[in-house]
Amino acid sequence: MRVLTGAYTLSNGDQIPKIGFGTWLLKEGDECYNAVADALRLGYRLIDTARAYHNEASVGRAVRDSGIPREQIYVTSKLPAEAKDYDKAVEEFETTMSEIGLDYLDLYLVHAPWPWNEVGKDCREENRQIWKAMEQFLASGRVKAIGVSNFDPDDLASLLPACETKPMVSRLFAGSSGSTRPTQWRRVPSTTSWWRPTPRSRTASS
Amino acid sequence: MVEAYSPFAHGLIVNHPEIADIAARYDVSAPQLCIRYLLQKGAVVLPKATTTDHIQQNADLDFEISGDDMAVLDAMRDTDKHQDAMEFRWR
Repeated sequence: MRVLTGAYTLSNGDQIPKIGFGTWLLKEGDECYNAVADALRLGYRLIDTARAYHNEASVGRAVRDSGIPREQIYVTSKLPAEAKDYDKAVEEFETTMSEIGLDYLDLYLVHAPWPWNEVGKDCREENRQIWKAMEQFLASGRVKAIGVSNFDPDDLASLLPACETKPMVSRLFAGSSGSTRPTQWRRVPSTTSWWRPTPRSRTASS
Repeated sequence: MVEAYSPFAHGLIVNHPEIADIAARYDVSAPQLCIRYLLQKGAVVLPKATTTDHIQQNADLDFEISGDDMAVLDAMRDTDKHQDAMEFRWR
């Protein structure tokens, strides 16, 4: 149980638990509600959901019913990967907030740099636009931290010049290889707010 | 801050012989080893589970992977077999 109570400090000063509970594929209704309720009962304090998981209502209900003070639970949701313009981002965010039924999210992420059915599509300009919406959600206080998910180093690099607030979290597939492998990432010493991959070591020519 | 999701590569690591060997030495499961590895790398780890047993086991991480074993795990590469999971990977 010790690890479940461990936390890192984010650049916004908030504590983020070291272990979170993922809810992808948990079905809206009893399946998701019971799993999240179990996880909270067993000591998990970070719950990771997304608009695209279609289970935000059950996640929110389990959080509210848990009896645990809201500020002791870290709740993450995500802007759908298909929402690539400002208005759509606002609409999706409002849907999430209404589904989940909580006053605020601890973390809100852009789910992916491209729509799921167009993996790899160049959406750099669109991502700069929706980041403005993300920054407004942050400023409104309804979101405590903002970040990205599935962004590779190039996706991030093209976003950063447009950021007033840089992504505080980068969420990556643990099994990624190459420069997107999470274990290759190191914190940039000059800033506390984002990470980058270490340079790939060169293969010695023989 | 980096968050790592799908720490079990969608279940594929469960049958990985080298990971099984290392996990056995610590008397933990392959998933526990993978979560602990990512923790020691400084990431937030986001395992998913549906059964109470697995939810509990995934949080039972009170062991420390040695520097030597961390190096072995660091050096592991995705195998071709793991490519099968690629189209399933982004979530």
